[in-house]
Amino acid sequence: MSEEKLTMKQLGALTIFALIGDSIIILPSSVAGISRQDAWLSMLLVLLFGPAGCWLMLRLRRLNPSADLIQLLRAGFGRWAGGAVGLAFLYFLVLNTAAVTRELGDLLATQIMPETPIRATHLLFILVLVWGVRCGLPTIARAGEVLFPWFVLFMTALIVLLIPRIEVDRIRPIAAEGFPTILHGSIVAVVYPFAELIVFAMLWPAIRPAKKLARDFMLASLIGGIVMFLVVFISVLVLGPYLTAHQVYPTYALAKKISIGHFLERVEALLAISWMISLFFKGILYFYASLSGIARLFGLRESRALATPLATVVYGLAFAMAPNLVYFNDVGIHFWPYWDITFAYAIPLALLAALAIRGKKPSPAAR
Amino acid sequence: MPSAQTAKVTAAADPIDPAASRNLDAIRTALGGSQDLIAKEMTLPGDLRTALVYIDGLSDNRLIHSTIVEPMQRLKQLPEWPGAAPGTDPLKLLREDVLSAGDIRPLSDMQNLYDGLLSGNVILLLDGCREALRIGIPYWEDRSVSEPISQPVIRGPMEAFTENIRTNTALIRRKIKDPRLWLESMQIGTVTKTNVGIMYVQGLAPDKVTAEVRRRLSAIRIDGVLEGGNIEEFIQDRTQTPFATVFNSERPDAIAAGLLEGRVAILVDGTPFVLLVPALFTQFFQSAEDYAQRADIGSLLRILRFLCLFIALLAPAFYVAITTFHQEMLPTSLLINLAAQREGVPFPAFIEALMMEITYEILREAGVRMPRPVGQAISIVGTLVIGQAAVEAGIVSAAMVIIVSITAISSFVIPNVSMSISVRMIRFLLMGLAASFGLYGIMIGILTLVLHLCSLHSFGVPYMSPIAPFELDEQKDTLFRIAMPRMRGRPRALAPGNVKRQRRAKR
Repeated sequence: MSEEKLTMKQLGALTIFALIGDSIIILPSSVAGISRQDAWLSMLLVLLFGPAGCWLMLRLRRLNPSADLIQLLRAGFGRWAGGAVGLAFLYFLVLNTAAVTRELGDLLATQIMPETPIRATHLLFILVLVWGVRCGLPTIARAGEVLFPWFVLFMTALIVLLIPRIEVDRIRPIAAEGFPTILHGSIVAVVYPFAELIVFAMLWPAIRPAKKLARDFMLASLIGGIVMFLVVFISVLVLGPYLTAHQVYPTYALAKKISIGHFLERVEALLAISWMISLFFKGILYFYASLSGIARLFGLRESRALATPLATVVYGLAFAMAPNLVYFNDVGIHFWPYWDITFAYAIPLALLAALAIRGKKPSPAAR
Repeated sequence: MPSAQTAKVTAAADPIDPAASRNLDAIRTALGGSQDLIAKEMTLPGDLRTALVYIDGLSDNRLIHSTIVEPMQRLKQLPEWPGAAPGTDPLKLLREDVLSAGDIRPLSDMQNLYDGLLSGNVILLLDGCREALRIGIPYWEDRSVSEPISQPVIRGPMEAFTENIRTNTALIRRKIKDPRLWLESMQIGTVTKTNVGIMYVQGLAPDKVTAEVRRRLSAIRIDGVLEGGNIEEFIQDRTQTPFATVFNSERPDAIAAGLLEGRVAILVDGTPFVLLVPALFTQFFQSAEDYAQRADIGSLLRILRFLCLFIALLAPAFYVAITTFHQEMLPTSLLINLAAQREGVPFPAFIEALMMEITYEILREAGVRMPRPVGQAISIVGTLVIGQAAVEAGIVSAAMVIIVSITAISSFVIPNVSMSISVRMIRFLLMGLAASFGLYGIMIGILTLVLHLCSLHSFGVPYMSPIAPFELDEQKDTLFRIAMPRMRGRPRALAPGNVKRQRRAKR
């Protein structure tokens, strides 16, 4: 295991990748499904709530920068209860890896390559996950740095090239359905991008301690949040609330709208590439966190040997977790947010409370 | 190495015999009576026998005559051999007062004697002495310094290294006249005993790197080193990679520039290619000319080279992916055009691309290996037969020929051959992925490639630096080449703690 720690820039790139991750594909339709043409207002609220959630993750780090969440759980809830909660958390991580894989597979199967079996696309993706995890976290972080400029380029292109298609009428009437609807939309919207950043609670020990870590992490999550806001805003402006809510992949439909001078058109496959980058990094962070979590929970010295066995589990899970896309999306909209909230907010809050009650600080050696 | 064992001269570690003639016999036997062994025997006053042994062609005959033979002849005319006086060391007398050659060292055993003899020294044996003298006046026919063949430039120095390590070290020293430019020498190869030099600017190159270079070089146990490539494979950080993690150049200015950045050069006798470590990915896309031209031109050329990297790597893969899976991405008129071209072609796009790419690789390899006068024939065969005739015969589409040509030309834009070969290899893998998974396959390939590149290190420095880990300050000399007065720093990863390169210019 290399002792190399991640730099702030790498953390920033990975945060933005993990935040945009799969949200960019599914978020616009789930938010617009609730708050209609006011989806962008919900997203504005998210910019307030989201970073507050990040504060919680940083609070966990402050407890002990060299301990990951599994260690903290054991310190807070005791060896066995903490271990049980840790096991549940590991299941959350593995299931999220599988969900990312499934989202990619569904996107490819329905939009880009309908004749390629989803098993094959899953297999290829998971092979790269294994390859990446075997290279180690510093390598993953460096790869993030290499691909980040390209991702920025593609995202900027998506937003800028769509400006000619904007029709401001589509967001009127503003706030017609009242504040509660907007709030409801923002609760759903805060979950996918921000709550799933909880994966970093598993990675804190691998990050080089720096004075401005908290500020940079917040800043990166805010940048990611602004990008998500722009994506939702522009989907509503270009597609309108009805299409945004009823398309399975509104951003993909959005990219199809790009047409500049009858030359620059049909670039949606190129944009799918940039989403693949962010999906990949979200997937690999979750996969890495699951592996290191398993190694931590069971006191193993080496986690890389587990990569292939766990990959087969993820492969099966990605296929078995939903019979079809409709089922998957239904779960994604109606149940997944609460599942995320449980693990990303409820458990850490309970942990903080437990630690406060017990009044002790977890030592670095805590298992 | 077993061959090294058998080649060992019998009883090599023997001490030198006091009788010069017995030593002479031993040398003759050891070399198997080789014709180029010259032994000149002389008798000094007092019937003292001496012998001069050297290999014809490895030592300078004229210098042997003027610095050794003539002084000895004068010694002969003396009435008495002064070395016979009690309390004098005859060898010391010869070395200090008689011989006028510069590099004279005593030898005490046969192994050193053979080593010295075969690397171009003259050996002087003297009766009654347990030591011999090794006089260094090596000379051999040498290629003169000529223009670089594999890394040419339009503007910039037009000299290249030669096969002689001394000429090469001198070429570098001519560029860096500083006492801190240090040269360490060692011999590698149990049979070839090749001279290898480690050159670095002391204080700039991190001690960790120089120590690591020394350690890796001295760990090599091989019978022969005939080219830098022989040791390159021993000292690289990882073997299972298509990418070179050791830079090589035949240009003294490129090596000198590397030394000034805190890198370490490894010179191998017998090859005009000098190795430079640590090597970074971006380095392979930089040409010495970038710094000779104006900054804006240099930057533009560099961007062009990176663009060519993408074309050389991805053009055939994209063509295969788009014509097989993503026809909807093409503008309608172009799609109709392509479809019309491909109508008569009996193969799928992947097979078509594979055929053409392999044909091109064959042509290219043939072009390199074939005797120069035949070169014309190959270009005619290449352009007419493969290009035009294949299209007319309906075996490949014209668009495919264009794709293959642009790929081929682009791969030549990459200034370093090691890198363009890697790119050529990976191109085929990406084509395979594109044929089975379309753009998704290409994307998977790129992700794997980026992960692999990021996992590489060259002598402890991440291969992708300064892109990853990202150093804003060093972007001035990575994708772009900004004006020299503003390029104040050395690469942080290469020369930590000694980053400052120039003072702010006075205005």
